[in-house]
Amino acid sequence: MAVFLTTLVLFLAALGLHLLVWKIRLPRFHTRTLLLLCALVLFLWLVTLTVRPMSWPEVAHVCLFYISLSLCYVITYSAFEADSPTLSLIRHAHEAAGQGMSSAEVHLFLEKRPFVKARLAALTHDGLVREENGRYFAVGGGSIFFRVILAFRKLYGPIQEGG
Amino acid sequence: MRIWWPVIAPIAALAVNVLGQIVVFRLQHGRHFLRSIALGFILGGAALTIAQFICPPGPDSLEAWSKALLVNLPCYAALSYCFFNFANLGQSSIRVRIYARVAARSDGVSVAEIARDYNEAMLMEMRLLRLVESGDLVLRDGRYFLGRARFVPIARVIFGIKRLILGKVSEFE
Repeated sequence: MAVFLTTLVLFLAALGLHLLVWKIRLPRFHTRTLLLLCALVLFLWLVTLTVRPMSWPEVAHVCLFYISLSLCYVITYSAFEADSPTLSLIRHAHEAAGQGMSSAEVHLFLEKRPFVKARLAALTHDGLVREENGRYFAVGGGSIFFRVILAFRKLYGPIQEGG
Repeated sequence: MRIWWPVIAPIAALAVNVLGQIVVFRLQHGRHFLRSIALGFILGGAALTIAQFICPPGPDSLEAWSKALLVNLPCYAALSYCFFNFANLGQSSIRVRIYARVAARSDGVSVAEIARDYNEAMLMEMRLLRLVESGDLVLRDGRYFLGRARFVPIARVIFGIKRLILGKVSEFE
């Protein structure tokens, strides 16, 4: 029970800190800042263990549970940060409930939301690619995270195209 | 070993989940991604339950077992959620696909090439078609109406949280 409650308190503290920081000022790199805040909370808790010790397996259990919950939140946060084309369209259709939307209105709505350009801009903003004379290049060896995703993709074999 | 088992169990269950998902997906020749994810999750969940039975976390087994599951079930679910999103990124994320394309070419990729491969209008047509086919949107007299409302509560939650955290509902605002 101590593991469950400790993790819950730590996770809520991280969420509280996240909301507080975001209300003060939106950070430039959302995901990185969020990961740092979660790590900071865990680190501070580990420091307090010198005063209120716990057994090593319990500490490891709290760390595992807390890290998995934090990663869950960080992943879910990316859905808040970037718009989902499907959900945006559904929301728009819901708002236009009785009247519906003509094909021209749908296309105008989507034209105002260039999702591919936005993803490309996000890659540039995160320093993963750079633009030079109208061409895009991967920066350095690329992010470890992206390389791991690409390596993992190969385990599946070829995949279908689609958005 | 016994005292470490509660920590090892969700990781071992995740390993079963990942392996199971890859095997199932490959056996289905790269089709039914979501079904393979669900099957992997069930396999891992079964492994977690078996692991708890084989090596109960304490002498007072029922109580200790329940307490360990109170942490390990959500912990396994959280790890599986992370894995699903990780695997899904490689499957459907436009960002990852564009990055893969750019990283594969030392001479870079032009904007025109990206626009050709990831044509906004074409992607949107595909998405619109999928929504109509799934009944989420209904095309009537040349106008699109909301059909099934299953995505509406999800959209409400997501856009509500966006407003709360980011102070806006769209990245394009």
